[in-house]
Amino acid sequence: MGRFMGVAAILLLLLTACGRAQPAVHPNRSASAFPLTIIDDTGRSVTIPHQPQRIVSVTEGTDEILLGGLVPRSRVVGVTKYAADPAESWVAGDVGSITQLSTANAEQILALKPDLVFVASYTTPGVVTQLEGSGVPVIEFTSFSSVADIQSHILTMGRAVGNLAGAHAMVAKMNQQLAAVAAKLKGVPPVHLLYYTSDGYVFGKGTTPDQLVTDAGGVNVADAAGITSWKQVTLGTVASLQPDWLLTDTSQPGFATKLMKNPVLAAVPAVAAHHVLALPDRDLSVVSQYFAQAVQVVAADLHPGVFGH
Amino acid sequence: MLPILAAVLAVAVWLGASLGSAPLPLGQTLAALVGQPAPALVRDIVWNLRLPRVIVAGAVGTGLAVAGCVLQGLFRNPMADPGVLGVSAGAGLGAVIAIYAGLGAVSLWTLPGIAFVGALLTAATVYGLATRAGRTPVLTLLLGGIAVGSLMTSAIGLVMILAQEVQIQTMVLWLMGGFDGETWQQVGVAVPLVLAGSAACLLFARELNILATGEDAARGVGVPVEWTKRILLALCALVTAVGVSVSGTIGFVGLLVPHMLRLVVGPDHRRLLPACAIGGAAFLILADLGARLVIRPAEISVGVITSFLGVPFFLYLLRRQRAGVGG
Repeated sequence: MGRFMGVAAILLLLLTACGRAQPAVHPNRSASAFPLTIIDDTGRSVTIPHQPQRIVSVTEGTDEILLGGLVPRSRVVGVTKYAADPAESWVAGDVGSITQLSTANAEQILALKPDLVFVASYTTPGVVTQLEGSGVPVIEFTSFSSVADIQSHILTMGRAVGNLAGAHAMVAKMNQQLAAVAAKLKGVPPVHLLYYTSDGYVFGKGTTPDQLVTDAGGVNVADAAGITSWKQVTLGTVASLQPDWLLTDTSQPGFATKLMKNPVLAAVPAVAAHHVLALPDRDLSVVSQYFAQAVQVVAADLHPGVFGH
Repeated sequence: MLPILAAVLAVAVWLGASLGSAPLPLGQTLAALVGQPAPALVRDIVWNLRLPRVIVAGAVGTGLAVAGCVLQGLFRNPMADPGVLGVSAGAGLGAVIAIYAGLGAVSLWTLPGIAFVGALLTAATVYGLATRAGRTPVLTLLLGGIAVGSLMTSAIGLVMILAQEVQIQTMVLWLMGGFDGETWQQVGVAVPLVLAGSAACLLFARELNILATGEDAARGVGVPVEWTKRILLALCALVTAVGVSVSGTIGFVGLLVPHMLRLVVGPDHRRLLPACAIGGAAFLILADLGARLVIRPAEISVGVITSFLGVPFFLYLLRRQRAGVGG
């Protein structure tokens, strides 16, 4: 019986660990006064003792927000390996000699002696625990599905690094750029578009690519097909959705050409009219302030008459 | 032989705590390890990142090797390993379901908890299916385990087809096994359970020796065969379930280590089981070190290292056994 008591004991331990309540801590309202406490997306309260001078980012979005003007480069000591890749990143030219982390590995991160780390929900949970265990403040972002999410991240980061004014300016500029595109597109009939990735996924409601397509003057035909979040689909499904435009990424060289030559898609209006647009991932999977610029890029490609191409 | 293995284990622990993705001076890591003054960063990495990882890897290695050895003895089959009860596949199915349902981020314990439940449920199912009128023939158990295990593997495939790209990455990483991100919390829960289960197995060395001569012969000398089987199967299921729950599925440790050590210390379980306990720990600590160093500063899954060592050895065994039978 002892064995089964042991099993019951573990289960009980697991349950109590799962149900552990988060302490309620009120956020410090002051922007520049350190120490300050921030409640992140996961509900954890994170105390930052002084203005961070050695910041590490292990997500592409936070790489771009930091190096895109929120803090001087000298205050960033670690970014993702994608940050310096111009096909993936809007800040490739700004990385310089900053350490690029191949994976979100606690040991590599700690070796950089960080005083603030930005992670995402897809970072290994153990790594977050390890960093916190070493006394490093860790801020985790969990939702990346809308402009509102992106802007909330920017403002949280602004508070955390002691540059809330800069964060507000970044958000304002983003809104201005989006408004400018929207003004130009006023009265312009939207094009029916499908974003089909080179690994076979389409994006629907509740994703940033869906909002990107909509803001750039498109109608995402995946929405009409009832696809929410993202799903892997066959080329037959792509054909049946009959998009007027096909949008894809450049991760696999020649993928757009392959699409155009594929007999399954021959009867699709987008292919017949050569309306197949291949863009780098930095435009399509952007979750930073550069979302607004990606919208401009896509809008200009979809509506060359309006944007003076 | 045991003192040599213990020395290898000590060296493995020292290397495991001294080397890793961050290049730290060996003198400083040794100082931090023995409690001498060392820079705070070195102390932190050695004590809070590397040691928990080394200890969990060692305990899981002990558990898998002991369970493998016990099951090989119990089944009188050199191909048996902790996977035969379907435990690893059951844990894997639990884990991919948890990731698919988005429960992985809820707490540090959700994923291992669900994997653990999946592992034990599978083992109980296999045992239940193979048991008739209070007796559990080992051949039925073996075949039942393989059948249920492959059903679980297909179910894992099904869940992965339904899952999203990001989730699939997490699933693959989990299924390949690894010790990245282990903390003292995992040490506190997993290590006592695995070590206690393994230690309990060691008490059955004499019974395993007698069972090697056949179940009827064992009954003849008064060994309570069915009860011995039940207790040992439950211990192996528990030890393996805890192991795979904290570290993901790690193949071939339970197959490889007992066979290697059987060649060295012989088939007597009174010597073989302790040798497996120490040797398994050293083997998995060193395999994990390899996983951390091969593409440093990035890591590969420890399951890749153990499989790359294990599969050729498995094939060698297969050929040798066929030759021995006269094939």
